[in-house]
Amino acid sequence: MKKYIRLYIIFIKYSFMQAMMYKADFMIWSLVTVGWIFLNLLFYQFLYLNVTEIAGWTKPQLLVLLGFYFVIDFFLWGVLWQNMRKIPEIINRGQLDLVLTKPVNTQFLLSFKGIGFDDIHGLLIGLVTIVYALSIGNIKPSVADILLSTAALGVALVYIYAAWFITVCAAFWFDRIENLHLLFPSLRQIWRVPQPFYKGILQKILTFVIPATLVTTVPAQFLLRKPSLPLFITLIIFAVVSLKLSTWVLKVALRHYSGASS
Amino acid sequence: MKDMSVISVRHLKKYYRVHEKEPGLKGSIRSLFTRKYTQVKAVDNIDFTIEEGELVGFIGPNGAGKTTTLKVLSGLLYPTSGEVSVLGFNPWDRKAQFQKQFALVMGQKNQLWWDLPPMETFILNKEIYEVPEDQFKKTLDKLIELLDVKDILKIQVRKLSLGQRMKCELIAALLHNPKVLFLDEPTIGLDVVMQKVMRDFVKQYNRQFKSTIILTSHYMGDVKELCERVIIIDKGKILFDGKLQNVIDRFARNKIITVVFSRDIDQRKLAEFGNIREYQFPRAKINVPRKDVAKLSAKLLSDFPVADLVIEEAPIEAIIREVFTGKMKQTNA
Repeated sequence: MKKYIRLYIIFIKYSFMQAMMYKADFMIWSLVTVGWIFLNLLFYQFLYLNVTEIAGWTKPQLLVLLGFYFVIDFFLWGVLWQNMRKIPEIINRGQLDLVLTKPVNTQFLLSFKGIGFDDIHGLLIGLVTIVYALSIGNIKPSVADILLSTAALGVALVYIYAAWFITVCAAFWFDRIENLHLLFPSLRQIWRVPQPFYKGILQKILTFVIPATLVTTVPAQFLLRKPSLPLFITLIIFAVVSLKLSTWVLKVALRHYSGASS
Repeated sequence: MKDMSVISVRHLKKYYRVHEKEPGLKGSIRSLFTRKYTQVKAVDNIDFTIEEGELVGFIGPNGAGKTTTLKVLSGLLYPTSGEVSVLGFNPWDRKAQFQKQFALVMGQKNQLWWDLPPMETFILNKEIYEVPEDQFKKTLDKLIELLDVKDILKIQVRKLSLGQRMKCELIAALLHNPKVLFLDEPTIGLDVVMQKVMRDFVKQYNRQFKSTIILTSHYMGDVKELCERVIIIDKGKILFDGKLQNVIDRFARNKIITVVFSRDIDQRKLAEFGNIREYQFPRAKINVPRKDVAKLSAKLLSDFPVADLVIEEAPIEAIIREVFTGKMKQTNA
């Protein structure tokens, strides 16, 4: 474990050094990230000019959720995207061979080698949004609420990582799927709004089949002091199963790769 | 016996299934529904063992099975059947303990971080292989000296030349002092000067670090200069395994007689001696059967006005080329 922490620190350091080599790129994407965040905030401002509540969620409550959406976006684009994008490329260009000879867990090397810093503002703005929304809504979570909310966010991130990794592993079987790595993050539009916004069968599907609605809703619910234990447990089950499944899928994929590639 | 060798391969087979597509749109559509598969025998029942400290050359044309064999030995491919042991491990278990003791360098693939100086990759590999600090320093200094790369360690990798990059790739791969080293086409794309540098390095490294090395190459020069022992492989089968010198004894049917004449002669008469490779007065080169060399050269001296006569072996490149084109497979076998 210690070795992996040390490796991850090196990866962060190197990625930062790389990012600094392309300052213009870094600046432009930072602007884009910040721009998107403000457009999102603006959208909800206008929405709540007309109503005071949607499906039981007030504006401050929704802003808390939106804060989580920004934080998760940082995780998606900053922490994972660089790596997920490269996995199909690594497989198709035969670079996987060099990864496989290393005495380090293959899934770790494939998943966490690169970190993007363009979205780091998203993380900060997300946290600020949460704090701001809590204050305008006069919501005062306890320490336990904050801890549970953080834990729920952690579980959500595990689920997101594992599910994304599994979808990208399709590249082992199919030579070329353009934008395969964008398949999973396209779901993020779903978790931009809380789970109760969806109704009927759609809500059931987005909760118990693809639990996309839960990743922002569950952490937000803890902070907002209206936790739903069944939803939290559902999310935990999905996270654990997906994580297990991701290592299993990689194992099968590597067996396939080792058997078929030349 | 098996435990004595660093590498032992018995009855190794590696077959692939590839699907065949008929030409044209019709073929493409048909292949969506029914796929015809053919079996490619990349490696077809090969055996060999390699002892500690040996430097063995793998030669063969493209698609002969060289890289496939190296990949099986590195644990990247599961064999279809057969037994493989490297340093006492089953390579495809991919145990960290095994991976810390070997290195695979592929001339066409790189592990250096493109946007950072090579030193950063070295430091990363130190962590990956858990090399102790003092050993890392010692090995690095040695490799830097052997490859003469002191000045480029702080330059971004993408700004380095191919040769400089290859040197750094080698260092990155060797920092953990691997006992076994697989070099797949390490000189590919390099100019003659850099090829020579690489060869000298591999030779030195093998001597100083006592590592066991398998080298594959298209360039006979690499193999000729480095390897006492060669394994010639073609279409997945081993055609020859032994001393490079013995390749000549086994496969060369002809010797080359170069004659310098003092007067112009009748070429038709000369053709009776053997196959004339070139004739440009006053010099002629003739391929003659090995067993008849003495007799024929004596006859040449008596029948023609000879000023000079030299008998040579055919160049090893030519012999091996002939082995691959199949002309000589049957003879001397």
